[in-house]
Amino acid sequence: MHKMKKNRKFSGKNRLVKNPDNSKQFYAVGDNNENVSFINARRNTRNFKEQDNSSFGRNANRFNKQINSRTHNPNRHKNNNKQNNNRNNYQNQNNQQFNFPKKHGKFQNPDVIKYISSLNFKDWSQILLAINEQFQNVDLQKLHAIDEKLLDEAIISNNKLIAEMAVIAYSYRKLISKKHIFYSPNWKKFKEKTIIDLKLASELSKKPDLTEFTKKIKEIQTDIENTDKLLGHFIHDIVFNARAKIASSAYAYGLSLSQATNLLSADKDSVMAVIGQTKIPDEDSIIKGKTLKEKVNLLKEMTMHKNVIKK
Amino acid sequence: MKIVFDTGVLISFSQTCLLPVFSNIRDDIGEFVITTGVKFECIDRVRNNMRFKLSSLRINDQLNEFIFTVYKSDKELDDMTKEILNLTNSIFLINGTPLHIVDFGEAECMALLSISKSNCLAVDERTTRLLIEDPYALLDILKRKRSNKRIELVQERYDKFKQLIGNPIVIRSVDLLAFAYEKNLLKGIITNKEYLRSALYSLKFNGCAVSFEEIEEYLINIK
Repeated sequence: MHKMKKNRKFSGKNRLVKNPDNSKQFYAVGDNNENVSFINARRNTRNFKEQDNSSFGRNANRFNKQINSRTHNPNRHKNNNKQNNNRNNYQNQNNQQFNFPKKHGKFQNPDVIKYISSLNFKDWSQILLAINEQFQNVDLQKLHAIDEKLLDEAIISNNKLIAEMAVIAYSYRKLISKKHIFYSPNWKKFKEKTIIDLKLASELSKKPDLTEFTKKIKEIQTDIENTDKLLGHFIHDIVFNARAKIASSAYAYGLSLSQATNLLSADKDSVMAVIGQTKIPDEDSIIKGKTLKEKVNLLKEMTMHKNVIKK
Repeated sequence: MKIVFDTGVLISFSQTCLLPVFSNIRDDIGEFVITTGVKFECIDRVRNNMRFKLSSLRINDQLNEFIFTVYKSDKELDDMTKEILNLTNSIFLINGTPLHIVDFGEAECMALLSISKSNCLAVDERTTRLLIEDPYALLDILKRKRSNKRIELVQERYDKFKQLIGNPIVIRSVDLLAFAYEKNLLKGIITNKEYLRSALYSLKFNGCAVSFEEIEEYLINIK
């Protein structure tokens, strides 16, 4: 292995590139400087095991194919790749074993589906208690299912308060999933306060005047923000990201960008950045509309007409 | 030709540092118009947010250089916006309940499209584009996400909406950039095919609703 490393040669497609400023070297995948894949922009070192030069070349081509042009192809892993075929078979076996029902293209745990269908999403008090229960049980799956269902309700009823509850459920799930927050000595205090706040919010939601309830929801979100600022690693807090992420889901459901951002009180810029990272436009490519080429031709025709009138 | 711009296209161009492209292509196309709502969304609203302030300043520069004309709100525009909001938000029904899919921002752009008799709307997001071009495709998307609910399109309301806005072309930021490249209007900014490819991908990653497949298909015939 040591010898192989020492004698490692790179073909034309995979080569070690030295930075002009003598900083860290990086691996480039491509024939020449103009044809370097964008995957290298993020990867300074190789992140997969190489047996020899040729296997790296094959993997590199596969990476380029997948990321640059074949991302839309759902069968891409199956082509000429024994390892991936094995992985697919293993996944299929697992799915058969658990027999997860398929919903919205995703597999869901039957327990979670049963739990969600037992909840009445018109009764906000019950939903807040359910969030409280799953927060205490540290059940990420059920919290996720609750926030998805709350978003669905918010979209149909165009209700911002329901969307805010979805943001809370999402934020709790994210907080719980972070080890450095969950195992922090400050977590206990936050947990105790959260349990009391959610119970209080549940009571306030029963009142006909929702002013106090709205205030409590804001207060809960501020607590989450402060906890994340205190214990988290990122500049932008969990609530900010939750709004952008859930708004992108609302957009995927079919709402316009303005409607999605307005419903979740998110920033358009951040939602667009999230949408850009998702597969939403690629999933929609099955819809036969005017292509880029056709649109460009239409623009050309229109401007030609305008230039003729000018003359 | 007059193009009405939605916030998304301005944000995409700003985030990808491609805003100077507008000054190159405006002379060839005609007039670029935005509403006060769009100005508020992409400049005033994010002015205090340091994450997006650079973007807002860049777009503001474009306004100062008179690349874009701001159409000031008046009663006619407000009334038309309300009418379009009412119509678009009752086109789709979920279990008999109207689905609120379009908000003030897009409705105002569509109203301006109707009032200013312009025939082109630049919008990066999918819903408004499909609503104008192909509402049944949008119905498919809504159905795909909610298979357990009865979703229908009210044709009568859609026809009324179409009567109001006419039959405009809806373009995205990628269409505009590709058009500018083919017309050779991007000298010094985008010099060759690889630059174009990178710029198109960059727009996609900043939220423009275009697929990998579509970009690659387009680039096959480009020299």
